[in-house]
Amino acid sequence: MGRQPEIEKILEAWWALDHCAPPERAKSESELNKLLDSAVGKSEGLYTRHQILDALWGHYKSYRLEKRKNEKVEVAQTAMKKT
Amino acid sequence: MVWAVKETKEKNVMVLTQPTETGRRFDFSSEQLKIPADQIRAAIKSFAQRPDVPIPVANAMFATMWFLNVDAFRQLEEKFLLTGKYEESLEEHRAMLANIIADGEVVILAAKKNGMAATPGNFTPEDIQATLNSLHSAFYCEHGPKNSLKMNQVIERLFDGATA
Repeated sequence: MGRQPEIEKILEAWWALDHCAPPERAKSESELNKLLDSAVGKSEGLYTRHQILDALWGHYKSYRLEKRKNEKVEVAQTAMKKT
Repeated sequence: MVWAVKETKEKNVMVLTQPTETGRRFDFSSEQLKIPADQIRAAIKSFAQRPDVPIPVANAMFATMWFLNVDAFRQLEEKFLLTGKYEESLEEHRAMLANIIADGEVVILAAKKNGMAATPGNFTPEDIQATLNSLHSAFYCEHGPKNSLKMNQVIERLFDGATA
């Protein structure tokens, strides 16, 4: 089963913050925070950004794993095309 | 005479040569030459600590080095995730992450107090702070106090349109 689109967007923004070029980090953080603040708003301020990140931590580790596995597949496919 | 890496007919050869026009012609990446990262770090650190290197320039060098460390740490984390070794190495993860955070705090403090010269790609102290914040979040999520299971369920339901 796929993830909720809003969760997926947060994971994408989190990944971008951790992997973009250094000069883009502040901008990436701001984009992630906007998404987190939207979730904080939905909870009517009951939960913090950190609590939301903590709730999504397991998803984020799976997301990172998927990204790296997909990269490996892409590298293999590119190599196959070249041969 | 200085040591410089110069392209020759033979690949991967380090030759003793006069500096080229700029004295900064490096045609081979460290990966191709397999120079250990800790040796590069030690060389940069040694240079940055020279008294004739202005403090903002030294700060920029340390910040650049710190970003390289952060990226290497992320890659290692993902390698461990891929090989299934992540969970079994959590104690080492905690120590490494704490160390990188501590280094980052020193880097940002120095940059704020004494300034930072232009950096590769022009990253700013705000970019350092954002990266540091993300590392703090990772520490909190992996090694800090956990949300209760119920709280996690309520938070996940928020994304389905439920209210808290």
